[in-house]
Amino acid sequence: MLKVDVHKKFISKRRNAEVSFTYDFPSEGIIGVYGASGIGKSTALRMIAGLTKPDKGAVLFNEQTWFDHKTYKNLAVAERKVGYVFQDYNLFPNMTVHENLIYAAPSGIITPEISELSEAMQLDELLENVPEELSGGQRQRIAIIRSLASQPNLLLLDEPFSALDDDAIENIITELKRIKLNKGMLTIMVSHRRDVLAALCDQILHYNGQGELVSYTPQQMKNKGFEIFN
Amino acid sequence: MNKKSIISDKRFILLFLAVFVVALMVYLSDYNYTPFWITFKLAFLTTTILLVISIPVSYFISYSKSKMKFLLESFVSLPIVLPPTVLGYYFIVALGPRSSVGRFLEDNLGLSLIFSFEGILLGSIIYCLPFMVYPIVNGFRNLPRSMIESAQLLGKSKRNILWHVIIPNNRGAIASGVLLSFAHTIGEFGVVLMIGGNIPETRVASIAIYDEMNQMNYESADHLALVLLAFSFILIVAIHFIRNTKKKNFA
Repeated sequence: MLKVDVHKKFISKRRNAEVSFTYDFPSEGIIGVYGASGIGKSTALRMIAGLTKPDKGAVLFNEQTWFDHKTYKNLAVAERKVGYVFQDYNLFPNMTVHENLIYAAPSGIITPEISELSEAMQLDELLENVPEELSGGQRQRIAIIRSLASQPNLLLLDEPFSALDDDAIENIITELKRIKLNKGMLTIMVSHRRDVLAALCDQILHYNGQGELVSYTPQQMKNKGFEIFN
Repeated sequence: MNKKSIISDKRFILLFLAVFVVALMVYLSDYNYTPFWITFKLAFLTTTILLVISIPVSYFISYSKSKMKFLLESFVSLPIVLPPTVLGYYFIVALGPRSSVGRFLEDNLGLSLIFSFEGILLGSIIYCLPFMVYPIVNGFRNLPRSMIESAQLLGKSKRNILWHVIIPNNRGAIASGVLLSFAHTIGEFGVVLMIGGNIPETRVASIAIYDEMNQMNYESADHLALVLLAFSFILIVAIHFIRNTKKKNFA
């Protein structure tokens, strides 16, 4: 179970902003977070992963404290074992696809499960290629497999499809559904695309940036279309 | 960035062949090539030692959140604006035979840093520091922050990320720093003259040219200058070639 209660203020000359995110996530399933662009969805995800330090609040994962401002506890990013997929892939350009996967795998050993996944996502033929030789869709597939190869406790997807065209998104979603992405693990996906969230998630949270989260099922989203967000 | 390293680029190898040919010309000529030997030895050792020092220094300047890092940046940048005579003067004051450090080194290690190769080597290292550090710092800073975050998220330590992600993706910047430091050391005059004097053990090519000119041996000066010009030009071409190599594609 992941308990998140994080707050951060951004103060600049032109604009002040505050991001507050409070929610108790279940221990498994794919949870979508929907909200307008620039509202702080990605910042909330970064605070969970430890990439951005919250001003106050706490993050608890399975009884382990990852962050607590009262006790000054802030577990290092590397120790949280979080799988994180960025919008812009972030594959290592100096490594082939295979080397990227080996680098991510603990002790450099790719499990049979990951080999099966890369086969299922048609990445076998690309293993000896370097990232710059691949399309955006292929890179994002590899980024997802790479994050799983690290055997994470929790998977965070930060706008994973926003740089891709609709055909590529559809293909990846079909593949992700087939391989059962979460496999008993909690996955949180942030997106501004309602259709993508409805297609992949078990539950969708509408986030307004001020900590208020309203929960919907994918069916509710499909039935009501855009109205539920108005 | 392509998986091929810059070193495996054929054009880059050609440039180094050109450097080798110039070095061979010097070796086979009738002129006294000792100043070139000292120059290249100085440039090679300066560059090698600087490379080892500059990687951690550049890492600290690029990624440290310390509020005091501007002091280190200022120290590293100082030789860019400092006249070589000032550096040489303080070098002699701090490490000369009259200083306590100089006396200590001489009494305990038998090492004299004035009028010696070791002295001009240390002076060169200090004087060339910004020429190695800043190309590397620029490379490190241009690497997307999220790429380093990706490696952190995979559970990698800072040292592991430096060796496997930061350095391999900055080979161009590092090669640029190496060539620039090498070229700068070859052209060094003031610091070497101040610290090393004008004795055979420390007479580098640039000082040898100055000497030959003073003695009106124009033919000899001509020969030395031409070789130094050709060598420096090749190195500068190599630096610009690396800088113009296509931009990295940070996938």
